[in-house]
Amino acid sequence: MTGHSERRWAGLDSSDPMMDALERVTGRTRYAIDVTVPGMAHVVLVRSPVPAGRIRRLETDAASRAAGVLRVVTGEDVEAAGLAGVRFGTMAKDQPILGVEYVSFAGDAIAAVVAETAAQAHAAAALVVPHIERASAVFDPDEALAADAVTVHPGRPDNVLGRWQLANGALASARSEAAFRMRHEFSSPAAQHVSLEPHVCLARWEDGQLETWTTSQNPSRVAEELIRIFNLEAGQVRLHVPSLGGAYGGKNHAKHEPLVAFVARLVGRPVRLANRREDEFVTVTKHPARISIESGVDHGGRFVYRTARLRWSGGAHALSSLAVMRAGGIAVLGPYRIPAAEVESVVAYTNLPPAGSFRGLGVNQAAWAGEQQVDLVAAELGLDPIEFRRRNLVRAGDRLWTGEPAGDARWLDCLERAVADLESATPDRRASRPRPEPGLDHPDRRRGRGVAVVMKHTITPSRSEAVVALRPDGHVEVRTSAVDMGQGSPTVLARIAGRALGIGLDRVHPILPDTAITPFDATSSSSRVTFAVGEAVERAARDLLDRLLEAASVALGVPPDELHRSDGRSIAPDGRQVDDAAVAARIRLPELTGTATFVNEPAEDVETGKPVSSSHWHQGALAVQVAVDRATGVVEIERAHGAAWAGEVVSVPGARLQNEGNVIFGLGQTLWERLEFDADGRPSPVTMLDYRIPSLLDVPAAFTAVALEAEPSGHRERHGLGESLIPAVAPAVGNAVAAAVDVRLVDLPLHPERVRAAIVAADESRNGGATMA
Amino acid sequence: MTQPFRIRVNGATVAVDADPLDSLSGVLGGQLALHSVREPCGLGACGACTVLVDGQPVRSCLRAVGLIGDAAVTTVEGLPSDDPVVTAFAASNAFQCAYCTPGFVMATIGLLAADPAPDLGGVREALAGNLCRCGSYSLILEAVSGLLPRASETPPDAS
Repeated sequence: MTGHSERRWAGLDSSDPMMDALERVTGRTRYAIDVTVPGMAHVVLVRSPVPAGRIRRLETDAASRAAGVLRVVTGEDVEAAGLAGVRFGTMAKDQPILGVEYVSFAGDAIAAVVAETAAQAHAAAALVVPHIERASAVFDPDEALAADAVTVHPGRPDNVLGRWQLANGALASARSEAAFRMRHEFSSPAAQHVSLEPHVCLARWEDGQLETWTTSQNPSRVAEELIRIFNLEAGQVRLHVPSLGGAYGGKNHAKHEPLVAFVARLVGRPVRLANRREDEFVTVTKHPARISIESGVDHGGRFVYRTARLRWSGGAHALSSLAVMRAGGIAVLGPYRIPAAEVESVVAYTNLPPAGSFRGLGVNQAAWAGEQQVDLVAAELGLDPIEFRRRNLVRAGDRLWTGEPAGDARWLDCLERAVADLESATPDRRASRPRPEPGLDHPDRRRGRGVAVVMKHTITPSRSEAVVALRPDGHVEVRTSAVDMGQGSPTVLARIAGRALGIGLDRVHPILPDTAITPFDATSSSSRVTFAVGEAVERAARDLLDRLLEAASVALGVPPDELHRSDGRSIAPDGRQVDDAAVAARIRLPELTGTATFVNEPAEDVETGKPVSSSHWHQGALAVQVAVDRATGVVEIERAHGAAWAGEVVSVPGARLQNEGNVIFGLGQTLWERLEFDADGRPSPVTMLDYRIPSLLDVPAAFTAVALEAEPSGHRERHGLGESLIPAVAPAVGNAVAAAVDVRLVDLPLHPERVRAAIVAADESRNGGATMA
Repeated sequence: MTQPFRIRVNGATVAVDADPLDSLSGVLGGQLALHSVREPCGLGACGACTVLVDGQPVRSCLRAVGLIGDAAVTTVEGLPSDDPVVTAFAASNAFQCAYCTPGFVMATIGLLAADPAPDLGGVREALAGNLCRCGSYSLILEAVSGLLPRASETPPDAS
C-alpha cells in the first residue's frame, strides 16, 4: 500500500469536492420532474375544503367534459376496484388511496382529475363540486385526547395515534428530596419543510408491471406498500428515486404513490402528479407540540429528577408520528445525569394536514422545551447555564435518564468546543448587514448569549444492504437504495467503497435507488445513511475484495494474502501486477460482486438485560450570540458556533455543508416559520412569498459548525450529521434572547412582533401594570 | 391560446409554441427541456429560475415569454464549460441538493457583469433573492468571494 495519510481516501483527500459537483452546478442533475415517458398524462387532486365530514356526492360532469380531460377519478372508482378498504402507512395503516366515505382534513384528496396537460387538469379540478356533510373537527391535541372529543377516524374513538411512556429511578422520593422544583410549559407550532423540489410521482403499467419514479426517502418501503396494495409479486414493481431537490424528512413514507399507480392503471396511461407549492403545505408539516417539563435539583446544582409530558398534533395521518413521539420523548430530558425520571409522550389524531418527520424528528420541539428549562433552572440556582450543564452532562460510563449506558458520550466535548469558538470568534466584518457587527450604541439594543445541547437517537435496529460490483470494464458500481437528497450520499458511499478496495473515485459509480437493481434499505432518514448504508457498503466492498484477490491470485500465481492493492491493481511481492479490468475480463461472469447486510442491533444493557434505545447518539451543541432590538423586537443572530460529533468524517465539505445547513435551516423555524390554521383547519401561509425561509442575509457574521472526530488510532465509527445541530438552534437562541432582554418566550417563532409583545408585557408587569414611558 | 414564435436562447433562435403570457421559465424548462430552469415558487420569491435576458438576471417565472422579443436569453446550459462562476461553485462545493444552484450561478454572473468588485455585503444583498433551503450559503459566499478582485477581498480596518 502506498503511504496514505489519515486524511486520504483511495488517493483522494477527504477535503476534495463532491464527485458530482460540476453536474450539479450546471443543472445536469436529474430530478423526478425531469423524467417523462411517452403518452404521459397529468393528474391533479381535488381537495376537501372542510376538515371533517362525510362525502355525499361529487359533481364531476363539468370537469369530465373540460378540455383535455381523460377521466375524473373518485372514491367510487376505488370502491369498484375493490380497494376502498386499503389503508397504507409505514407506522400506522391509516391512509386511503382516495377519500371514499369521509374526509379527515381540509386538503384531503377526494378526487383526481386526469388530463393531457397539467394546466388542463388544474382547470378541470376547479370544476368539481364536492358535497360534503360537514362534521365537527378537532385541531388541538389536548382537545382531541379529551373524553368527549369528536373522532378523526371512525374506529379510533380515542384519537390516540400513539403513546410512549418510560420511567426510571425512585421518582417519589426524589421529588421530596429536591431542594428546588420548577415546572414550565412550552409549545411549538406547525411548520413546513419547503424543499425547493415539491413531491412528484410518475407511474406507468406495462404488461402488469408497475414502474414508478417518485420523490421518496424510502424507496424500499414504498415499493413494499405498492406490492401489497396491488397484490403484486416482488419483481412486478420497479421504483426509481432520482436525486431529490431537498427532503428534510418531508419525503419520508408513501404519500401519492398508491393513488398515482391506481390512476395510471385505471386510465391505461402513464400519469404524473407534481405538487404545486400550495399542495406541499397540506401534504406534510412539522408536528405542533405542547410540552410541560418539571425539574428538581439539589443545593449543589445537580438534577435530582426530571419529568415531562408531551402532546403532539399528528394531523390526520400517522406518517412518522410514532417516531417523532418517541424521539422527542427520549430527548426532552436531555443528556444529563438524572437519577429519577418519567416521560409520557402522546400523539393525537387531529383534523389537520398530516404531520410527519421534519429534520430533527421531534427533538426540535423537545429541545426547545428541555434546553430552555435547563437555563431557567440554572438561573433559579444563580448558576451560569454553561457551568450548570458542565455539572450535569453525562460522561462516558454514566447512564442516560432512560437507564441505559450513555455509550460514547461526547456532549461535553461538543459544548466546550462550541463555547470556545463563540468566545474566540472573529466576525467577518465584510460580510454582515447592514453594517459590520454593530456596537451597542443604540439604546434599545441588547446583546445576549445562549447555548443548547442535542441528544438524538438513530433508528435501532434498522437494516441496510449493499452490493458492490466489479464490471467487465474495470469500474465498480456501488448499489444501494440510499437516497441522494443533497446530503452527498453518492460521494460518501463511493469514498467508503473506494478506500476499502484501493481504487480511485474515477472508477467508482454510485447507483441511485432503482429497486430492480439496488437492494433493500430501511430509509434515508434518521441521519443513518453514512452510518448504516456506509457500513453495509464497506462490508460489501471487503467481500468483493476477497473475491477480487482470489481471482488475482490465480492470475499471478501468488496466494491472496501476499497481494497488495494500489490504484485498481493487485500487486505481487515481486512487482508483477494485474489490473481489475483484466481480472474482471477473466471471470466468466457478467460481474464480480460483493454483498453485505448491516443491521444496527441494539446492544444489550449488561446490567438490566434490556436493549438500548439507540445504537449510538447524535450529539451536538450550539452557542449563539444575539442582539435584540427592544423597540422593534428584531432578533439578530450575530454569532453561531456549533460542534457535532462525527466519529470520522468521510467528506470534509459534505460534513461542513450538513452542519452549517442544520443551523441555517433551524434559524427559519426559530425566527419566522409558523403555519397558522384557520377555523377550517386550512394552513396559512401557503406560498414562498409569505412563508419566509432563511437567505444569505440571515447568515450570522461569525459562523462555524464543526464536526468532531475521534483520535485517528483505533476504531472510528462514522456518524451522520444531518440532524445533530438543528434541535439546538431554537433553544440556544431562546436562551440568548432571555439573557439579552430578560424575557422568556415559550412559543415559537421568535418573530419581532412576538418578541416585542413579550418585552412590553414584561415591562408592564415590572412597572406594576403601568405602561412603558 | 398558443401561437408559434421564435426566441433567442443560448445563442440559437428556437421555435416555440406557447401562449405569449406563459412564463419564460415554463417554456425554457418545459418544451425547450432546459432542465436547469426550475420553478419552485412561481412567484419570484426563490430565484431558482434566474436566467439572463440580455445579460440582466431576471426571474424567468415572472417574465411572459411573449414579451421577450429578440432579447438574448442565457441559461446555465448556454455557458461555456470553463465559465469561471460555474468552476468556482463546483470547486467550492457551493451546493447541496443543487435545485437552486443554476439560479445562483446566473444571478452571480449578472451581479459581476454589473459590478465586478462588489464588497461581500453587496454580494449578500445581490444574492439575497436566491434561496437555498439546504443552507449552503457560507460556501456560496466563499465561491463568489474567490471571484472578486483582491482589493474587495481586503478586510476593513481591524477593530
